[in-house]
Amino acid sequence: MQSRNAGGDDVLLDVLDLETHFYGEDGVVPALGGISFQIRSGETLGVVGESGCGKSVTALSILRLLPKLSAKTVGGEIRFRGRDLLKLSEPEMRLIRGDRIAMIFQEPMTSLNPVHTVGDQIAEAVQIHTKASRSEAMARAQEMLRLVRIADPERRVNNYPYEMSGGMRQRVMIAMALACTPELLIADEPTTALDVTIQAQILRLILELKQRMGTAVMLITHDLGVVAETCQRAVVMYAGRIVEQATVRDLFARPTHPYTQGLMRSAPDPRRGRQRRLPEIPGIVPSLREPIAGCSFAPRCPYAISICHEKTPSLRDVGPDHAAACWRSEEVVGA
Amino acid sequence: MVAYIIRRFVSAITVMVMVGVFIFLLLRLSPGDPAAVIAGDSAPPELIAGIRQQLGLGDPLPIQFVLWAKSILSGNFGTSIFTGRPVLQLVLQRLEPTISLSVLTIIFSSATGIAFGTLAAWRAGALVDRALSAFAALAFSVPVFVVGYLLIYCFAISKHWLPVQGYEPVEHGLATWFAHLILPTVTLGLGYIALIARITRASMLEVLAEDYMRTAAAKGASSFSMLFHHALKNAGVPILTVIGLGFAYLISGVVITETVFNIPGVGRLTVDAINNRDYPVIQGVLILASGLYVMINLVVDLSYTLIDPRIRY
Amino acid sequence: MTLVSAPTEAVPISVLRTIKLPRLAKRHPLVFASGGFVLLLILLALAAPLYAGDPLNVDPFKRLQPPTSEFWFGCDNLGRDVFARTVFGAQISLMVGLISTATAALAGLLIGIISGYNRRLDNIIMRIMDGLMSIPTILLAIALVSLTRGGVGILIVAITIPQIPSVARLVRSVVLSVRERPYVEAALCGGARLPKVLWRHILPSTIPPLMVQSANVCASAILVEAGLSFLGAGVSPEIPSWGNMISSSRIYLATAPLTVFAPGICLALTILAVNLLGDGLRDLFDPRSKRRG
Repeated sequence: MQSRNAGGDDVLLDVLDLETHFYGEDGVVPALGGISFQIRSGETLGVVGESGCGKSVTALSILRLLPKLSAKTVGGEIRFRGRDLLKLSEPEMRLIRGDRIAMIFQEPMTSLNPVHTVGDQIAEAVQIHTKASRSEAMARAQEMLRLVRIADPERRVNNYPYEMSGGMRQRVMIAMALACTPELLIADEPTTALDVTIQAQILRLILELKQRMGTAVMLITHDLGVVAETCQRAVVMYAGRIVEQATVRDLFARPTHPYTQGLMRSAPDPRRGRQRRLPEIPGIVPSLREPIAGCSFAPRCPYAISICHEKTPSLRDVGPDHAAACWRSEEVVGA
Repeated sequence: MVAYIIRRFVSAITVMVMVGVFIFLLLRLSPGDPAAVIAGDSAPPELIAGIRQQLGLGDPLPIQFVLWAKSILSGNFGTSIFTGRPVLQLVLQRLEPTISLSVLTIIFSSATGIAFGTLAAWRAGALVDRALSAFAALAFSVPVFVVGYLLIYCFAISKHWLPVQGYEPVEHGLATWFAHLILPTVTLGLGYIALIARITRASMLEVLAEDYMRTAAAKGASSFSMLFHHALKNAGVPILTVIGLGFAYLISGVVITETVFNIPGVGRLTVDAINNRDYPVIQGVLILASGLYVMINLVVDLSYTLIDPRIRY
Repeated sequence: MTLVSAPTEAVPISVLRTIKLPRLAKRHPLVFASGGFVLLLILLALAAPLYAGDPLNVDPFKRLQPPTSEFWFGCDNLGRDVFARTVFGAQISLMVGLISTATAALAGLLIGIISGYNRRLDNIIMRIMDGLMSIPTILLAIALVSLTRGGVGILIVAITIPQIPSVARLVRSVVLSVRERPYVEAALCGGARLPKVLWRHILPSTIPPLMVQSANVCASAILVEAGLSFLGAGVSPEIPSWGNMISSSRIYLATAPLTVFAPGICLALTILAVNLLGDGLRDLFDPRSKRRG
């Protein structure tokens, strides 16, 4: 088994064997098959994987924002500063959301309420969690808009979302999320829906504010380049499980899971300039509807041997602060 | 914006002209002599001849229409056969009970309907939702007079909690005024509540699935704030629309409710006019009610900008 | 007035051909039960002379008599059998409801198709429909009835006219959506004549939403007929109709409640069944509406 980093008091969030199921018309889908990871105070953890691998479900499970009728966390623990979030009552959970753990969503175009001004929406977060009066909260909203570098914040607080561009709306989302200086910020693909030119700016902004406020960040992305630039540690997910986790330096130096290696080969490398054709990982992401025997990556894996199709590998330490879920990690890492 | 308001006004006026043409043709094209209908069954021939002169019945139809429309626009809705008094004056005299009943019903039905619809959407699929759906189907189907007599039987005859019927003007005291209006309001409001609740539920279901509702939850907003601060305003346009369209239902209901509860309002005036074959009164009420309906829907259309800032015409 | 919206999207007519009764009962119990109830009502109303007494027989000695084994619902203020009157009253309600529905559906279909196919006429027709819709149903019917000397024929016309706009608008929207479909364009480009295209391609698409809307219209027509009778503008007072019965018995509500509630509850149940049939048909033709509510 993977050694749990007994870091003690600097562990902010400790997720243990988290299992979340979706209930669809055609049965139960195990969207998260028991995942474990930690986030330490002030660090940036990257969560990487293809779409549908369970990254967003992990984020929504932590904040307990899953759609009530169709999804449920059925097992595991989510220890935040030692308290299991899954055991809290709904009112206790509301005190944590937006105040101690905040979240930024992927779609800035649809994630802001169209009928309230952006100032109102930021001020609301402040007023829910502090005893601030409305004018104090609005002043804080203005200050936050300035902090996320929106020009002319005095005027912009009174704007409606439809009067802003996508990049500006995402800045508003960041302002809203950080208004109560949370200890953990979950950013779910915060730049995917934006223009390429804006993406870097937004990312830099998040990192800068994180530094200033001492907030830990869980950055969900499908882009390994982003992870390399911004994160200290990273978790690689595939089909509802964690297949590899390591420090970013180690992950890029010694990718130990065949899936991680595949991801790296298919990512464009800016140092090498334009490449003619990126190698793809053959095959498709498996449907989680049918139970998978063995390693879920085996059907697409160039290293797969018979055991891979029979037994599911669990995360094993392959180095200091580096674990992978692969039967053949020794051979893979050497390849 | 101004252009939109003008356009909307023009279309409201077009609709009113259509209504006018229709009401006008109703009398002219019906079998029998329009002058005789307006003069009443036992009118002397001289009177009928006078009215024929006044209506210009010898002239071609378009000229008759212009004459007729002119007199309507100048507030002359004709004279009641039965009482011999101007129709407009009769209607104005009966206005207080009708307005009391209608305004109370709109307030009561909107509040209850929106609350029920919101609750049903929030607990979609649960027992409350099913119970409210069943209630809506029932409230939609039971005629106003059946509801009225059931309520009278239960709350005024079996238990003497509320007055059986009648109306007390506001100046006789707010409490008695209100007590006399409770049963009529509930009677008239049930169908309207069902209508508003159905639309609210459907509209809220759509809004609750939006991304910004998840954002609100991630801020730590309470369920109450999520529903009423974040969702309801977004779901507002269809709800407001149905409240406006349902006003036609309300007008028909008022006539029956006033009869059931013996309230001396415009509805009773209309029913008395049926019994007395007093056509000028019926025509006057028809024009005024349709005009009110068109105006209310004009106001509803223009008020969309107040609830949704994105709507800029 | 129509308060329940029917699906405006075109649904293939083949849905109708595949319906089998046992499967209908299992998959759509609402349609099965409410449809069955409506059929039963029609049968009971038609067969009234076979099992019910004389609805017109006046017997002063039985005035306001409570229910007995002979007179199940008791007797009214003139000593007439309330059960018999209720059963015969169903004949009037259902007849007026069904005839008005059929007329309104046909007229609305015709107007809707013309409006959907001819842009110039469309503008005029729709303005007329807007005007018609702005006149409250019951008031319009009252005006029509009071202008003439009454009679069931005029009553049916008065109930039908206010129902036409909703049907016409629905049919028009279906025609407008169907005529943009590739197969209709293809048929027209291929030289098919317009009447044939209307008959073969467009008419079938209007039938499912028209059936849903007809149920709504029918419920509304029965309601308006009862309302008019109640107000004294309906069928003549001697004829036993549910609205007339309630109107003439209402002053005896305290002493003989059944004289009011027997016809009242029958009326409510009938309208409920027709409305539920409409809701059920809507779910049957447009399964997504079930989830939307």
